[in-house]
Amino acid sequence: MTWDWAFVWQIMPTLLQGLKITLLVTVLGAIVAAVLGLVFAVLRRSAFKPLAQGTSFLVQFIRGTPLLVQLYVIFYVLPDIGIRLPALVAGVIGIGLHYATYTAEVYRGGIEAVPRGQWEAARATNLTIRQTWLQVVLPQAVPPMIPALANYLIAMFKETPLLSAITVLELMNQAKSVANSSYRYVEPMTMVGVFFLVISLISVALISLLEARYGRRASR
Amino acid sequence: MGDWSGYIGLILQGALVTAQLTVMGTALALVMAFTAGLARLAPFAPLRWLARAYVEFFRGTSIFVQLFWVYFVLPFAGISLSPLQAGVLALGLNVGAYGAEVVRGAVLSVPRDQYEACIAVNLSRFQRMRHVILPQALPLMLPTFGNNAIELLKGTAVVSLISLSDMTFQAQVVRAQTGSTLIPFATILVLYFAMSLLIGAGMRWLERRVTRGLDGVRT
Amino acid sequence: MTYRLSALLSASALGLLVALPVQADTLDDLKEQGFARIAIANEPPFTAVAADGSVSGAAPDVAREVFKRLGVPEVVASISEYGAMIPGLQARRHDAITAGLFMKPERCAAVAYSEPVLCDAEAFLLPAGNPKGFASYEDIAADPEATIGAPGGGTEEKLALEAGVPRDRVIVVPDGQSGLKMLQDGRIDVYSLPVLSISDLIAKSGDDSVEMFAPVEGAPVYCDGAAFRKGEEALRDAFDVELAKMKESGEFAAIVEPYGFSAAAAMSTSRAELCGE
Repeated sequence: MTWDWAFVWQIMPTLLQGLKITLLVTVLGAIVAAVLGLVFAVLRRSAFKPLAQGTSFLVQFIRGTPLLVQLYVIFYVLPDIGIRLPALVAGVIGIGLHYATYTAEVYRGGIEAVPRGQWEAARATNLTIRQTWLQVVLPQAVPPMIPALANYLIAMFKETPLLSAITVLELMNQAKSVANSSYRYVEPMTMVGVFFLVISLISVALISLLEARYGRRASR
Repeated sequence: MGDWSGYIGLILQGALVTAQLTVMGTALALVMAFTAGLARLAPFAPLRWLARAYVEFFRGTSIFVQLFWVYFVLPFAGISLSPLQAGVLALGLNVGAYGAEVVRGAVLSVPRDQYEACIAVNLSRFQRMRHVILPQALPLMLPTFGNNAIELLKGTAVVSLISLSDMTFQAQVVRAQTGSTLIPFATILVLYFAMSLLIGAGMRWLERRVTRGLDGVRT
Repeated sequence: MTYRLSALLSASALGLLVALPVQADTLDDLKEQGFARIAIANEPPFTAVAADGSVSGAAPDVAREVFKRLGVPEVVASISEYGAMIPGLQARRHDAITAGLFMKPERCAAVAYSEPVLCDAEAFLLPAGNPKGFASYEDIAADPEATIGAPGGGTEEKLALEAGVPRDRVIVVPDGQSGLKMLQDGRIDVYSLPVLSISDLIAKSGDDSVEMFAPVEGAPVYCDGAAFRKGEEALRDAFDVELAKMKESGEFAAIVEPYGFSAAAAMSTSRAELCGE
């Protein structure tokens, strides 16, 4: 089996179609993860014990079980209780929900890193809870979290091939489809690997920049 | 809908395969993590670059793609692995790359004065690593290793896509036989969760053991 | 502790790598090994995996019988997607494909097929009453909203694409149950599989909100054969000899007809005809 460049050029448009969907899913999933993660983080700090514990359990459960199985449940089981989501939406929600459990941890770490004094000062100056969060805590907590969040963005990007299992036509699915009809696995699979590697390396470089700008000064 | 005991049996067989994959994958990952992590700190430049390339490559591509590649493309280079071997290899190399960074980070955060003391007491590089640095670095690595092990456990579900009979695959088989989607999947979700709790507990026990007698180490 | 631990870990890692699978490719190797590895798809009645893990279905049953006569007592099956079967065969993961992988000229060029074994026409699984009136793949192409589900790498997928259904309206469905579920949930308008597979799905589901339309107009009747690697023609020919004997003696019919297949259909055509040689 020798590498066939002509074949690679032939399948390139199909693969690029898949890449578009991959990127779309990543971005949308990241938004869901960022927002939902914040919700989880806040709920876990809630004064209402059952809510805090319930959220904590849910987060642990989702983090401790495979994304693939969660996707199957969202895609195949939810329609039974009336929630029928298109494949792409199911994929975005699945990935977003899963990674929200990770971002929740990042948020928690970031929020806890804001010195107690800030909270106390906010109390002393009579700011409302809402003001405390929005004007004092979050602006200090968020910048150091950005590199960690960006890392999870890349992780999400790399997990998008799982969506092929619920019929989303992203990069991996397109590659498999090409391989199925041409009986050549080498070129499509390698190209998919190359795409992921290239985008990942670029992202890692970008994250180093982010880290330099926002990251905590490591006392090494 | 009959024959539930047969179906539960199938899922448990799958759980066994999942456990096998997790254990063997973790073993390989540990080997790779220490090898590559320490190689990245070696004084010998090409070794450092090789380790760096390994880490960037495996962290930069997804486990799914790596698995497919190992399973479908490698045979053309003459290396034909069984699905189990392909799974262990892909998982071990992948998680090992993340582990390598953890090892490197932990070794680097052992305070400089420990290194200086070793030099003062005339320990060789190897003795320094083995008796002083690694024992102190180990407690720092364990929490993240624990997370990595859980990631590996979750990663094993992907092998179902190369038709390896792990828990997820068997759940699909049961699903095909019974027509019920919720029950097989709910069952394996609970089983996966139980396994991840087990790994977490195991890690905490290991952390306690390893920090015994160590002074002032953050756990 | 680190010493012993690392020694143990390296040993287990090495031990794993050393246990590489033995390649058996000629009939003699298979006989020595005691089993032949076949690729199946878990699509009853062509191929099926039972709760206890045992493999049945018309194709594996025929294969098992033929291999037994050739001196290879067992078959070990591994489930694979149709599209992955030929690459898997070429990569020596299986010794033969016995899964209802229909003979088509391009496949015949990639593998060495035996004489025909199982023949079937194509069918549609549709909502009861066939509201959109689909009778052929072209009908689906003509309806800009219609989506059709089919197994990845299967004949139905190819037929749909060739009839003009765009790539994003042909949904790759991993297995029969998923296809049925997706149809019931309204994710796809049509699910296409061979006639007997659809019948089996409907019978098992007991769901009367779906029905079958068969045979699909304009789609040929296909037959599969046991597929062997190119280069294994000797093995394939030995297989054909035993298969022919079984067809003659009526044992072939005795195996496939209980599953619903027509032995006469397989016996009335030949590989040469189907491969377009």
